[in-house]
Amino acid sequence: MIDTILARDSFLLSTELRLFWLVAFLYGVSLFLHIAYLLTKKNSVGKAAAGILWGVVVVHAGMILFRTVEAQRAPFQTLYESLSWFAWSASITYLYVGRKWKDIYLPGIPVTILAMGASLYALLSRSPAVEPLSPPLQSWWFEYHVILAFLSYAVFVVSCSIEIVYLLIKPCLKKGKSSGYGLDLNNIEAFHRTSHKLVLFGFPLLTFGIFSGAAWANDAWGRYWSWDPKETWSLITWTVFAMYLHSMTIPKWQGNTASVFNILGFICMMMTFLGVNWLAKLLGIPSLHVYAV
Amino acid sequence: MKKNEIESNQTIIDKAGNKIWNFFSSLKLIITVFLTLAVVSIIGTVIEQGKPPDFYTKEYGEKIAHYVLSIGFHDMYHSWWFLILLALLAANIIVCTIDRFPQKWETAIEKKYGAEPRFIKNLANSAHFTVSGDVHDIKIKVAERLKKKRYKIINADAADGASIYAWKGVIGRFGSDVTHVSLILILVGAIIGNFWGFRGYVSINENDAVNAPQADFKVRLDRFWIDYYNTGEVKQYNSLLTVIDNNKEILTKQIYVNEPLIYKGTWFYQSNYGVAYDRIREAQLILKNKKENKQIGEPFKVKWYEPFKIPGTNLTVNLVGFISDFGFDEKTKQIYARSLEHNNPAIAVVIYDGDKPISDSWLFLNYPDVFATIPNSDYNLTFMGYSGLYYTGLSVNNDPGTNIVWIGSILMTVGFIFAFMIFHKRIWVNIKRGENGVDIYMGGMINKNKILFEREFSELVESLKAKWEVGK
Repeated sequence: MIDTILARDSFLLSTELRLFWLVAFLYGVSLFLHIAYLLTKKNSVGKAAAGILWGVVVVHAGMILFRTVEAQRAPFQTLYESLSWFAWSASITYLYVGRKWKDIYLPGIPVTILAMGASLYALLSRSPAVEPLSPPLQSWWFEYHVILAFLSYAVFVVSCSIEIVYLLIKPCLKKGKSSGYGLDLNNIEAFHRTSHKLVLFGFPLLTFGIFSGAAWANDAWGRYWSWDPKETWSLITWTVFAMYLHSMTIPKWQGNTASVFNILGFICMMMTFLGVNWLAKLLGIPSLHVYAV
Repeated sequence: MKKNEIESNQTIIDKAGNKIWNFFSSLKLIITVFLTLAVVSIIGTVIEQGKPPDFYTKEYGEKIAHYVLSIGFHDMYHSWWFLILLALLAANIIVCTIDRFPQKWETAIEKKYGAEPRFIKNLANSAHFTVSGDVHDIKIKVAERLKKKRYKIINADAADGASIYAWKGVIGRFGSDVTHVSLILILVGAIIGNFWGFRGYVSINENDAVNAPQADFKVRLDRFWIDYYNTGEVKQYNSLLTVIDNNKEILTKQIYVNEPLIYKGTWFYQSNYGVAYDRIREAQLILKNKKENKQIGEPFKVKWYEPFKIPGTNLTVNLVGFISDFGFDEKTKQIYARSLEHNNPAIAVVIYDGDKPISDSWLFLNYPDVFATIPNSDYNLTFMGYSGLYYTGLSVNNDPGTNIVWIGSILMTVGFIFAFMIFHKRIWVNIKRGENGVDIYMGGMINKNKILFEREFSELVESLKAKWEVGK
């Protein structure tokens, strides 16, 4: 009986792994095409890059759904699952945000780098085993907390990608050179505003993510805040984005200072998501949040 | 002369006060404080917090450890300078909020009647068109249109025309204020918890009651058990707890990880568990014939301190002691527990013949039949097994600041909804009888999200124009 279950599980798992390799490969293809677009400035190449990304998002969604059904729970418990979810949610958020753009493909480069990187990291060094929910994770708050946190992550990824493209393209436009990447002096500010709007959306999500995490911690560990590295880094991320939002209200700072905070916020967010795990390993600091698998 | 001196002193104080006020109301200070908090928090995640001093000496060496300890980086979040940073942040937020509030309030409640066309033309969004009809009639139609769009309206009639002021979403202007107040509340709640909160730990054996720490009631553990998945992984740790207050059983609740017991502001959390080292629930024994070493009858179970009469004999057994890892000190002739592990379990039993105690001895699980347990008889008693007694480990927490933090969190949610989803939109309309008919001047503005309003405003203008078929 157990043998049949194991055989079935390992069959499903190997199918899923093959699918995930395909997904990672396709993220890579999309990245390659995005870079080709950067070099050739041909809209057809950009279109192909975005098209591939649409395709891989659909396949990846199917894969995540498959695992959800298989594990009979939300698909973001282990780090393997979280990385997969991160890659997917960042990609789909990017595609959704950019759905009305006309021939703007450059933010796809950072997005596909992250999506491919996260997928490869999951595949190469994380255990794909389906773990049942351990007692601390069996909470009403678990799914809400993670959904909110990851939604904010995805939003910040896209916001930062736009910010980077803006910072790189704007000086070219100011010198009078046309950039040739679908951006000109007429639409670049509107393009940049998307980044601000995304943070306005992501910041409350991050805040609610922290609140729900605190409520959960209060239920599970008896304290809503314990200055655990993950908690602290999420607060640092929150602080940096708060600074970004406030500097956007100072006209002088709206330009570069705010942009720096936005990118810094993204870096802090990556620290919150992954950095603390490495930090914990590197320094041997125990964290309640570090995934066991 | 004297009067002048007093006055100049007064101005100095005023000036100083203004300077301090300006210092705290600067947005740049808030960003500096935020930045400082972020940077020191990073240090807090790199240096492990709350360890004994020796730990840092070992980790960083004498010299650096000295700095870490004297600055307080080892317990940063409770250090005086971290608290000062938080206080600075709080002061900054309060001053900023108060500083900007009056002007916001003015704008919010300001109702401009009779706005002139010149004023309207200068607004961020404006339109002008001419229609034919009666001024009063047109005013009512425009007002109705605005009301349909959920604007609140006041209007006034003038000699040769009329004017309307319409507004909605004024609460959106105060989103940031609500957010700031909520942040202060969270800080206050955290500080209250820091100073007046209590954290502790108790372990309770099954069927035992203990005094709740720093409280005037008792808690009893009725049962502890573990649930497993089919695959063998732990699913849940459970404790059935009963609160006893004034010798009365008040309530019984099953707690588990993520589901605490709350009574009189004290929270009890499932934290860990174990098997008691000095007590068991029951022992399994068997009676044997000494000479032939053959068992007599069936094995039987004896419960803790519940005398048991062995069937078919005149003997009664009472289980009176247990040690999980039996040790015997040769020098002092003392019995002791070598560890809390169950390495060498032993039970103490008293055996009665009728009412008369005849034996008082230790039986060993790992060494059966080593010691004669019932002297001067044909029988021997063998210790076969036992079921241990669980204890549960509970984190105990009483934090009077928690609810303030939750109120702050909810308020911040409300503040975000106000700030990010509700916008203050204002529209001024001037209706004037002109040479070619009735001139309608319409203008409006929004406090943020200008693109959203541009669209809404032009739609509104178009729908009004359509009403009178202007331009067709």
